[in-house]
Amino acid sequence: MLKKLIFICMLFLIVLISSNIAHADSNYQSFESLEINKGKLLTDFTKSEYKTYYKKVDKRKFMGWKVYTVNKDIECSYITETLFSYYNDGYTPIEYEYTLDTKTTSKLSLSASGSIGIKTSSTKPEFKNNLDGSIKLSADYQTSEEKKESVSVNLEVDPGTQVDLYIYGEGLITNGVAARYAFWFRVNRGGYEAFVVTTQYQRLEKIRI
Amino acid sequence: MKHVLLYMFMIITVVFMVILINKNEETVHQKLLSIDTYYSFIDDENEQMYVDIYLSDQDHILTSIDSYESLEVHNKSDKKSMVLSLKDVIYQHDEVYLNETFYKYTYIIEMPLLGYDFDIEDCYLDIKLINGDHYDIYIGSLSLKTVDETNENSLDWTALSGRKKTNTYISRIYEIDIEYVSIKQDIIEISIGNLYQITYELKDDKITIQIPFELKLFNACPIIITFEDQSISIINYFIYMKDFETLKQSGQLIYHYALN
Repeated sequence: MLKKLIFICMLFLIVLISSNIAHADSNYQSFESLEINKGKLLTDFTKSEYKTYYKKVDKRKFMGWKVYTVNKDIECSYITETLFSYYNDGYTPIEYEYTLDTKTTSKLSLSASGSIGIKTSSTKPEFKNNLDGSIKLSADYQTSEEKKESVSVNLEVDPGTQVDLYIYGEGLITNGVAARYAFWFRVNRGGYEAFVVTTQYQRLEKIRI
Repeated sequence: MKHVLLYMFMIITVVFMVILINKNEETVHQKLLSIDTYYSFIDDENEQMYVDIYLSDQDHILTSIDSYESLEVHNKSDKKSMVLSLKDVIYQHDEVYLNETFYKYTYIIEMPLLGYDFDIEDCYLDIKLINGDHYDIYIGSLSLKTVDETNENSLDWTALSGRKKTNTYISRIYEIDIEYVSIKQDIIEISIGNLYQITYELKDDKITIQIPFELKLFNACPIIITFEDQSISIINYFIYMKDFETLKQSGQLIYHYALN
């Protein structure tokens, strides 16, 4: 009977440990540029920094997450990809009207390292195993999904001219390390990072090609 | 008999307590928030107006275009008004304000072609719904400018962008940059609507428009440039920036309304 119980417990722990070893890249990491005034991005954490920060979360607990925040609400500026690009290869000017009505974006992006996972299937990005609740991110990091945008650009595009719309802006970043425990066993450990857009600027460019 | 009385007393006590609890239960009021904003548009064919509101309930009747009977803008004294045609109500994003989530919606309004300038400094949006509900919300100020664009292309611009004043958080454009290749005529006036007197300077193939500060949101506008030969160039309505923490930064500019 005791052997069966130990076997079931071991099986349970193996299932816990083997699950959620998923890495996820968030879209803010594919920005053309992302600059921070102070602190460090999760991707720039060195092995020795991880080692130092992990010490803060390595004290075992019965159940749940232990979190250590390294950078909180650090201001950043970013430049994203081109939102749209249109080229008039004809011989006469074209009255071009552009309305973004299908784009779905989120002002919140997450990334993680180690064995901390992100739920990518959902439309709202979330860390797995309710890490979000333990990090206690401020209300600024409230998830926001845009179904439609009222961006409407109406302009005349001359022949041989390309029109590009870029997005750049400002945001906040919070990152750190976390470890999850179940019955004093550590089942997940890694780094987490949350990025939220606060202001978005738009720049329209006309280039003769 | 004593037992029956005891049971009846217990039942009455429980019923009384339930009634008391229900009476004291906090009633959740749905809210609408509007922010004092400067809205500026060109009075032209097929132009649209965009007006923003925030709702505390995503399922409220105000989110459905089929619920609307009429829409009208007017000034405080009601001496100036204009009936509008609502084209769509679109969801933008959500924001947290005073520990409550609000959902930003934008009214897309088809503008009537007036043929004359129409300005309201203290502008209210009068909303009548088909269920009989009626709201009259303050939205800020409105400028519709009538311009006859001329065919002469005196300005060959290459880039357009705007920004906030450094270290300010209010969702308001401070400067607009128009980068250009050439200007054929001298500029005699630049306008972003009738309610703001702006200043501008030309330097390094760039026109920088400075917008005076006012405690009012302002993030999009058309630009009307008049040249020495009286030719006019229009840069259409463009959204220069979008803030995702507008409520948090707007404070005293927010107007609160209770919804039915």
